[in-house]
Amino acid sequence: MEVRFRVHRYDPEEDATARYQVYTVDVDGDMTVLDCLNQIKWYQDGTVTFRRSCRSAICGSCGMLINGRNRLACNTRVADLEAAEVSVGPLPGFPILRDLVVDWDPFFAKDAAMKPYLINDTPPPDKERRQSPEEYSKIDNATLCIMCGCCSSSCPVVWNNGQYYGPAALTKAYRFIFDSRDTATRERIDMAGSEEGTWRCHTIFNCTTDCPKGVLNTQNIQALKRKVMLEKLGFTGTKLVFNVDPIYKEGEAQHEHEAGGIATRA
Amino acid sequence: MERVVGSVTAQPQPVRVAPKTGTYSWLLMRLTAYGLIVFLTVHMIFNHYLDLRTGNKLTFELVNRRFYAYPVIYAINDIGLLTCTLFHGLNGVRNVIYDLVTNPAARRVLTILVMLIGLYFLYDGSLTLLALAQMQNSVGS
Repeated sequence: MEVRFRVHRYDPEEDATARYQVYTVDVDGDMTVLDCLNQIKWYQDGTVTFRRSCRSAICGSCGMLINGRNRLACNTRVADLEAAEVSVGPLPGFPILRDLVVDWDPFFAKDAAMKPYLINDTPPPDKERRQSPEEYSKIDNATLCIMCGCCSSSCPVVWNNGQYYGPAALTKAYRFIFDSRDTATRERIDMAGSEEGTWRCHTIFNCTTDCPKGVLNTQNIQALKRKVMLEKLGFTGTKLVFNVDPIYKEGEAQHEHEAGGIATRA
Repeated sequence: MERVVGSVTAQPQPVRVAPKTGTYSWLLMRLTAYGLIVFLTVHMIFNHYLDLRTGNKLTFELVNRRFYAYPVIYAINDIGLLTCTLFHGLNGVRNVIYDLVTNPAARRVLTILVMLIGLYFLYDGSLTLLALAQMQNSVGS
């Protein structure tokens, strides 16, 4: 089956504006978009530039705008797109360096602000710091994040406001704030609860829909909002307040991901 | 502090605005939403469904008679409705401003402007409702 690929092209040294170039690829049944891009690069046009690494939806390198939605090129079968033409562009909202390659510095700066590592001031135990299955269930879904940027890049607030931390960084904050072993909750809440943090989320749900790993980004941000509010107002730990910690049921994330997978965005 | 994340050298993004402001506006947005449900329900029942004396036909005279019957309750309810509506709506405008404007000084100025607009309409609307209640009371006595 021959499929037309409209690939975003932009060379900052030669092009005044970006353009799309059309390639035709003979697609076999299970070929992914990344396979097709490789075919284009290896056999048709070696100047096409894009990032890729693991081909297993683990490294998060090949996040792209494919037929109007952010997806991992290595995880998207061309046949599943059910389209005679496949449009491939760089992740929206990120500065474009060349063709399909975007600048990740602002993205990782926001991630770094959330201190994306376990902080625990207490002396380490003899073995590992342990969690109960219930404690882990609060962060299980958030740990699936592979930092591909599909969520932040699909958020209209990020497009408008470059200062907004975005769903990826906030999910990272969530992952450690709700981690029972972490003790730097207050530091992270000062960042996540700032005006450029959780409060800029308008529950558009693009980030949840477009996450290729099924991370419930929007839901995580809503849980963070409640947590931040209770922390700021000094209600944490009192028995007057209902428990705001989310516990996702088994399979819920996958179900939402699949439901979002067939949705389209205007 | 500079952190190296993977191959990218990333400078943590600083907090630019006082952390508590967003918390209060978010909380009050929820509380005013609950307030809207209560006050709007009473308002709608009072204005459109409550039949006191003149049968089912809704006329200006009928509404006037309702003011006459419950002027203070009506005024208190509608001042509550006005307060919740103004805060809820204008906080939405503030959110749009914060989405579109990233300069902290411009944000502060526009927030103050939005607050002044809200306070003016709250003052004006409340004064009208209180005058109405007082007028109905004096007519009643």
